[in-house]
Amino acid sequence: MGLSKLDPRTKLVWYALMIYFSLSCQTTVQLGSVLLVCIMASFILTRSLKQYKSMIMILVLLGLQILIVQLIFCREGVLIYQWGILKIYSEAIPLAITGILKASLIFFASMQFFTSASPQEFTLMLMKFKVPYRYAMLAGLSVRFFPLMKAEYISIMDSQRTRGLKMESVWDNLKSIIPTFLPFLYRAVRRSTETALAMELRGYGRSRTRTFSSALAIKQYDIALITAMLLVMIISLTSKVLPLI
Amino acid sequence: METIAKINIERLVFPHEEKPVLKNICFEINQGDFIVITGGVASGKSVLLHSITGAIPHYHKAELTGQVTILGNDLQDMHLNKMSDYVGYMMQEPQNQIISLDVYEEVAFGLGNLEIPLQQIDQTVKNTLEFVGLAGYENRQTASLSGGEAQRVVLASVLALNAPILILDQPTAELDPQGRDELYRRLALLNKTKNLTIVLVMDRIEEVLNYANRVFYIQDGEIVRQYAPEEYYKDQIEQRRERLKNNIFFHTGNVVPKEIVAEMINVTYQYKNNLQGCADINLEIYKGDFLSVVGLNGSGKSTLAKLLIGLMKPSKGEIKVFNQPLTKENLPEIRVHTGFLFQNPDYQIFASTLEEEVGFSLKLRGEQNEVIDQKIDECLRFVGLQNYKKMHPQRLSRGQRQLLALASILVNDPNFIIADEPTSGLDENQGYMIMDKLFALAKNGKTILVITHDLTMARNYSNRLVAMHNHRIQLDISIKDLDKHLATLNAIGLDFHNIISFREHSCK
Amino acid sequence: MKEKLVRTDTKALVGAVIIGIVFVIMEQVTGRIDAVLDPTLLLLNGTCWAFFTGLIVLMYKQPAGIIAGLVEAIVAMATAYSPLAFFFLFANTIGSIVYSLIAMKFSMEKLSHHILAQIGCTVTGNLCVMAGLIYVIHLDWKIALLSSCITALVGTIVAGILTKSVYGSLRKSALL
Repeated sequence: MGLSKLDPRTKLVWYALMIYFSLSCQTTVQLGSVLLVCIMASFILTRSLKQYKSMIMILVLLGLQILIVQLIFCREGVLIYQWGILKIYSEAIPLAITGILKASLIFFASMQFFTSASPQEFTLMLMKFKVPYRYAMLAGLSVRFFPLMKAEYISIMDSQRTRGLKMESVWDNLKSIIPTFLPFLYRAVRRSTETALAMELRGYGRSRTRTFSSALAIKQYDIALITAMLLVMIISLTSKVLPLI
Repeated sequence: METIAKINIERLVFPHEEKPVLKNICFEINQGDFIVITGGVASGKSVLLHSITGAIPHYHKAELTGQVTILGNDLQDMHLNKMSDYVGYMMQEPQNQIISLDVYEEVAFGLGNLEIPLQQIDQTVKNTLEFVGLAGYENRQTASLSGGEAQRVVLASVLALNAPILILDQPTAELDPQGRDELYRRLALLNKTKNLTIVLVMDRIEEVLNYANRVFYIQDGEIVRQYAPEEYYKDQIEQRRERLKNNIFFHTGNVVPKEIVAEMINVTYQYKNNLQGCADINLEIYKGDFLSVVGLNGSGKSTLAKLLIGLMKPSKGEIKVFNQPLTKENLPEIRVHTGFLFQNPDYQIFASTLEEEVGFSLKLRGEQNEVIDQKIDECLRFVGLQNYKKMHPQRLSRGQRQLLALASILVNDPNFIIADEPTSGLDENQGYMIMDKLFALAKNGKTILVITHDLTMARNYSNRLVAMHNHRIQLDISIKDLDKHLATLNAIGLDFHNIISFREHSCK
Repeated sequence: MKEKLVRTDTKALVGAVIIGIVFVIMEQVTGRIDAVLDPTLLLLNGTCWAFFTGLIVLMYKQPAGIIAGLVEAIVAMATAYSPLAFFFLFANTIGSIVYSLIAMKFSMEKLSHHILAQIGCTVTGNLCVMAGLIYVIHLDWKIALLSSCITALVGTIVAGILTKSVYGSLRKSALL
C-alpha cells in the first residue's frame, strides 16, 4: 500500500501519535525505537528517504548545541569533571541523547506529515473538519508561491548587489537585511493584492461550497488504522494517569 | 450593436487625495467591441479598467461619483465575487494570477467556485485549453510554463467562465514577440467568432490595432479623444517619426567605436541543474555602443547580462570589463562604473522617499552629504522625477518606478549601463520614455547594452544588434545591415517584418 | 471593536499566506546570521519573529495573523528548516492573538503602543519556546527562562521600533 492511498486523516493521527510519544517517552531505548518505527514507516510506504537528507546537517548542528548546553548547564547526577567554573555532571550525556532523540522524532514526524499529502488533500481534510473552503484552500496557495518568492528574493539580492551592497561577511549580511527585505515586502504586498483580486473576480467565496476535482473518502483500513492508533494513545495515557488517581 | 455596458464616471478620487484620478468619463460598450485604451504615464488607464471590473470601489477604496452598469446592473450594488458573470479580467503578470499547481486546477478554479458539476468542468477545461492552443496541458505544472503559456493559461481560466466582457490590462507586456503574437491572435479570434467584447489597456501598438475597432486616449484621467484605429495608427506613426528624428546619430553610422569597454571570450555558463545558460559567447562591446541583445525567452540573453556584471561566474571562458578580468577583487571597482538596470524596478526600490532611494549607493560609498544632494537632484531631473523627491516611491506608476531605478544607477555616473528588459512590463509610451533616456546617455558617450525582446525598440535605438538563439550568438550586426538579415532573424523567431510593414504603412 | 480585530476579506487571507512566506524566508535569512553570531540565543531570529507577528496583525488583522504564523511554522517543518518548528505552531498562534488583543486597545500611532503590544507577543511566544526547550532538550528551567527573557527583551524593543517604522512606511506607500 502506497502512502498516497492513505487518507490524510490517518496521517494526521499518526503524526499526533508520534508527537505524543516524543513528549511522553523518557528513555533512550523507547525514543530510539519510536524514531526507528517512524523512519521505517516512511521507507516502507515511499521506498525512499531521500527527501529527509536535508535534515541531517541541521540535526547534527542541533545535536552539538544540545550536547554543549547540557555539558555546561546540567547539574543532575554526580560531578564527574571540573575545570575552573566548568562542571560536568554524570546525567549530562544521557539527557543530551534523549533531547536529541526527542527533537529528531518531532522533526522527522513533522516533515513526514507535512510532505505526505498534496495541498488538495490538506484542503479537503480541513473541509472535513468544517473549515470553510475560503480558508482551507490557502494551503495550496502557500505551496504554489513559496518557490516563486524564494527565487524573487534571490533576484532582489542580486539587484542590490549590483548597486554596491556587499554580502560577503556576516556583518555585511546583517546590514543588507533592510535593503533586501523592504523591496521583498512591497513586492509581496503588490502580489497578494493582485492575486486576491484575480481570485475574487473568478468567484472565490461566492458560495459556501464549491466543486472540487476530487473528494476524500475514508476507507476501511483507514478506519482500522485510526482506531488502533487512538487505542494505543488512550491505553498509554490511561496507564500514566491511573496510578496518579 | 447592442449596448452591454454604460460607463459614466463624473469623478473618482482615491482616499487622502484631492485630485481625481478619473473625471468626465462617459461612454458605452457595445457587444462585439474591441476597445483599446491608451494614454500617458499615470493617466488613469488601469483605474478605468478597475472601475469596469468592480474592483473600484469594492476592492480598492475610492470615492466614485457616477454610475457604471453592465447588462443593466449597477456595479455599486454588486459583490465582487459575482462579477465573474459579467466580466473576465486578466492582468499583466501571469504568475500573480495563477494560483494552482497544475493547469487543470487553474482553469477549473473559477468553475469550481460557481459550483458547476465536475463532469461539465472537465469538458469546459478541455475545450478552453484547446481554444487557447494548450490542448493536453491539463497535468502540466503551472511552475514549468513559459511566460506566453502561463498567460494563455490565465486567459483560459478567465474564458472558462464565459463572461460577456473580457478586460485586459497590458496582457502581453511581459511576453516575447512570439507569445505576444499568439495571445493577440486568440483574442482576435474570440472577438470575431464568438462576438466577445474586449476592452484592453494597450501595451504594444503593432499587433493590437489590427484587431481593434475603437481607441480611447486618456490624459489626466479624462478621455480626451476617441480614434478609429487607422486614425490612431497614423497619428502614432507621425509621433514616432518625430521622436526618432533625434536618433539620426546612430543610423548615419558616423560614429566608429573602437575602444573596448567589455569583452567576453569563449564564455559558457551552465546552471546547477545542467541547464545551458550561455554557450561559446564571443562578444566585444565598444565605447559608445548602443547594443541591443535580442532573442526569444530562454535564449540566454539575461544570463549574458548577469555574466557581464559578475552575478554569475562563467563555467568556461573569460570576461573583461574596462580591461580588467571579472574577478572577486575587481568586481567592486567594476560595479562602481557599471550600472545594471533590472527588468523589474521593484526588485531594488526600498526607501521611503525618492531622494533616499537615489542616494543609497552614494551613501554606501561614503560620499559627502552635499555631493549626494547635488547628484540626487541631477539624476531626478534627468529622469523627470524632480517634483516627486519627497514622495514614497511605491506611489509612482510602474514606468515612473523604472525611471527611478534608472536614476538610482545613474547617480554613480557609470560609463557602462546594462539594462535587462528595461521596457518589459511597461506600455509603449513608458517604454519609449526609458529608451529615450538611455539614448540620451549614449549620446553623451556612455556605453549601453540593452537586453530586449522588443524588436521595434531595438531597431529604432541601437547601432548594433546581437541576436541570440539556443544560448548562442546567432548574429552580431550593425543595425544598418538589418534588412540583409531579416530571413535569418525570422528563422529564430524574431520577426522584424512586422515592424517593416508598420513603417511602410506609415510612408504611404 | 470587532473591526479592529477581525478581517476576513480575500485580500487579507491571501495577504496572510504571501506575507507568511516572506516571514519564513526572512526567518531563514536571519537564522543563518544567528548561526554564526549567537547560535544559542538566536536574538535576530527572535526579533524577526516578533516583528512579523506584529506587522501581519497590523496589516491584515485576524485570522490573517494566525494563518501567516501557521504558514511559517508549517513551511519551516516541511522544508526541514528548523527542528523545533513544531513549537512555532503554538508560539505563532498565541503570540499573534495576544498582539491583536493588545493592539486593538490602542491607536498604534505611538511607539509605546507598539512596545506594549510586543511585550505581550514576545512574552507568550517565548514561553512556548521555553516549554519546548525544557521538555524536548531537557534544558534546565532557569537557563531556559533566562534565554527566553533575553530574547523577549531584545525582541520587544527592536521589533517594536521596526514594526512602527515599517508599518508607517507601508501606509505611506498606499499599497495596503
